[in-house]
Amino acid sequence: MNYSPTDFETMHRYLLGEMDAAEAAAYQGALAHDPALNAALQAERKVIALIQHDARSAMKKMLQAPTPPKAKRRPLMLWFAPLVAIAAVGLWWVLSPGTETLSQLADRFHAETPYHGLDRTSRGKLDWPPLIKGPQWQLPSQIEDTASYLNAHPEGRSLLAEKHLIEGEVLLGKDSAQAAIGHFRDAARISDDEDDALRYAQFYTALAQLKLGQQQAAVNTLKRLQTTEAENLDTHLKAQIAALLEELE
Amino acid sequence: MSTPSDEKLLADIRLGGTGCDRALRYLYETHLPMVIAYITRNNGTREDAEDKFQNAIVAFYEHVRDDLFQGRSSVKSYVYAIARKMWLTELRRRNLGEAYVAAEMNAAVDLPDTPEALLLHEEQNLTLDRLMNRLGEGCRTALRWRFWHAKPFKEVAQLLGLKNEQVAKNKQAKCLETLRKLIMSDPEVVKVLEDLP
Repeated sequence: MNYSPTDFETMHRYLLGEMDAAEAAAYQGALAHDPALNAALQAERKVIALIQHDARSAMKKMLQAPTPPKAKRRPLMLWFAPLVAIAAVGLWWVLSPGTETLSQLADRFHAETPYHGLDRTSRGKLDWPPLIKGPQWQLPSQIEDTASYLNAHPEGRSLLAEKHLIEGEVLLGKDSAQAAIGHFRDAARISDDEDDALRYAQFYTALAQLKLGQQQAAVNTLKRLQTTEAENLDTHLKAQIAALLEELE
Repeated sequence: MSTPSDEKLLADIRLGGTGCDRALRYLYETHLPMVIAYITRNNGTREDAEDKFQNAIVAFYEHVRDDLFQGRSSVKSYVYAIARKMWLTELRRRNLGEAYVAAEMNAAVDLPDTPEALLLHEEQNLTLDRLMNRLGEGCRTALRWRFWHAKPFKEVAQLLGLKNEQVAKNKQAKCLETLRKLIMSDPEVVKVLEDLP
């Protein structure tokens, strides 16, 4: 069998030991007779070694990081307990999650966590999206159809991602959480890694899951976001994720 | 916090994600004093101990991932033995022959058969870190899941919140292409990679 030096998927399966014995033997045979394939494999091995070095560094950083102290709620109560207690109990009764439904909790966190790409008023008035309405832009009905266009026009990627983010937010506000999740998913899928829309889409997905009563799914979404985007989250979003998780757990 | 059993720790590590991080941090924080005591008694500093034990935890993770840890000793003994072997290697590298002999005498646990850790000089590390920083965290995370945690695409898609494994494959291909271009544009990185074992 012929193996191409640019068939990286097969090459990775070989390097990661995912081939069965027969396939691995065939690949080794090809390597012995094909210098170009062998050279490509050696080069790719170095790329993977670099990724593995990066992963080890990331794990070491994770081990070094101090364990965050558990946030203390309403510490003033400790100091002014006798006088504040009655007022605090009343306040707690109004504000605590026990009196708040999951849907109300989602609304509160949505209001407190605006996406900073554009402020909400401006976004509402925006003629979305100008590029798509131009002569070269026709928004396909299925988002998958846009993939090839976006590859050719990367400048439209963030714009389209934000469009989906906003449509999702509007639907979330109207309690159409299931439809909102579809838009957030599309926003996350289209976004570039550097784009904050990617992370906000995931946070808003957790809020939509809360609106659907899916508390555990929301917790999983938030934890995944904390893990996979730990170094990309802006300070406010990071704090909001931690606060919401604390409310839910 | 109650003490988790070895079985629980290993299950969490194999699962990956935040549970894995929590288990590894537990091991690190719980057993670090023991490693500090050993290394500071044997010509090392607290900083040496922290660095070596971090490397030992990383190596332990790789052993669990690759099913090299057979469970014939406790997790505690195993990570301690890895740290100790790493420190002995370091003493040899520093040409501290007498200290090496003394450190071997002080050891209480048999060495596991571990593969050698990847050793790079600090300067080379910085060169590689600088390059990876240019790649972006999203790509770095995606590539780590596939090429270090050795997760199949289906799991990578789930861990990254992507729609399906094809999306994960596309993302990986795009990230790798960017990484290859970054490498080729930086002769210093090419040189460091050529020197890798």
